[in-house]
Amino acid sequence: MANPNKTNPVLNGVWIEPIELTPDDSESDINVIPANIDSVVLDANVNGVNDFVVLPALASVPNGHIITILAGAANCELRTPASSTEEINSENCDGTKEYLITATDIVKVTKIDNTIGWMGASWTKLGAKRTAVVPD
Amino acid sequence: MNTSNGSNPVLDGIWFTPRLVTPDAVSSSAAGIPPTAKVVQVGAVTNDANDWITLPLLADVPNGHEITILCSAGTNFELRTPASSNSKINNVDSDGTQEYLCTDTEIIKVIKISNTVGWMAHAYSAIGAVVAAVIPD
Repeated sequence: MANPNKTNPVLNGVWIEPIELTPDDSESDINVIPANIDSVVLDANVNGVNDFVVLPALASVPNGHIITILAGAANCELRTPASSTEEINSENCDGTKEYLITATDIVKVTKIDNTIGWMGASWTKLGAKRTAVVPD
Repeated sequence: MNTSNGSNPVLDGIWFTPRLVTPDAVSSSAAGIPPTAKVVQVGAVTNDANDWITLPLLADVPNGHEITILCSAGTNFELRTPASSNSKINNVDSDGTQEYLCTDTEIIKVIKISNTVGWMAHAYSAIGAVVAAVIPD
């Protein structure tokens, strides 16, 4: 590693330690993605397929920030923080609409900026790209 | 992080500071993506949609190096490899006569395959749809 304590380290590799979250029907510590987390594994829903996980506030992460979400065995939903009016794929997802996370999919969300919000894209576990998800 | 000063750290996450680049009709430091940048935010074009930004030299980055480009110029622009480098994007020499079209609001991922093959680029719309492969022209 050329300069381990500086801003452009050269690494042989990086392991991102995933955190486990639990989709629920209300926002709490168990289903909110912290701003400093890149990889999320979803456990079983508390209630059912309308349970959700919540993205960090846009202002709390840099543009281009990418979060990888590994879906659980059942569908669930992805929201932005309540009352934030923040969008995923150009839809306000702070409560009235949600991005569908299909069971076993891999979802990547990229922050575009504080105004446009997040771009979400999903793949099956076999590597097929899902048709763009329109939150509803 | 288990090994903060080792070569294989285990992290909860990484934040990359976006690098602002400005498309222009000439290659310049302001329009160039440095080898260390992982996320690129694109400012307004200097002239028009024929302005470009430039990838780093292939030799300056490792194979598999990936750059995320946020097309936020407010208009289309173009992506080139360094002048006279003969380096390719999507198998087309893009060092000047041909360029990869960057469509406004899209998100482009560019991955270095090797010094010989060059870069592979693919893009998504801002609402998560895969964009058809772009052939530089």
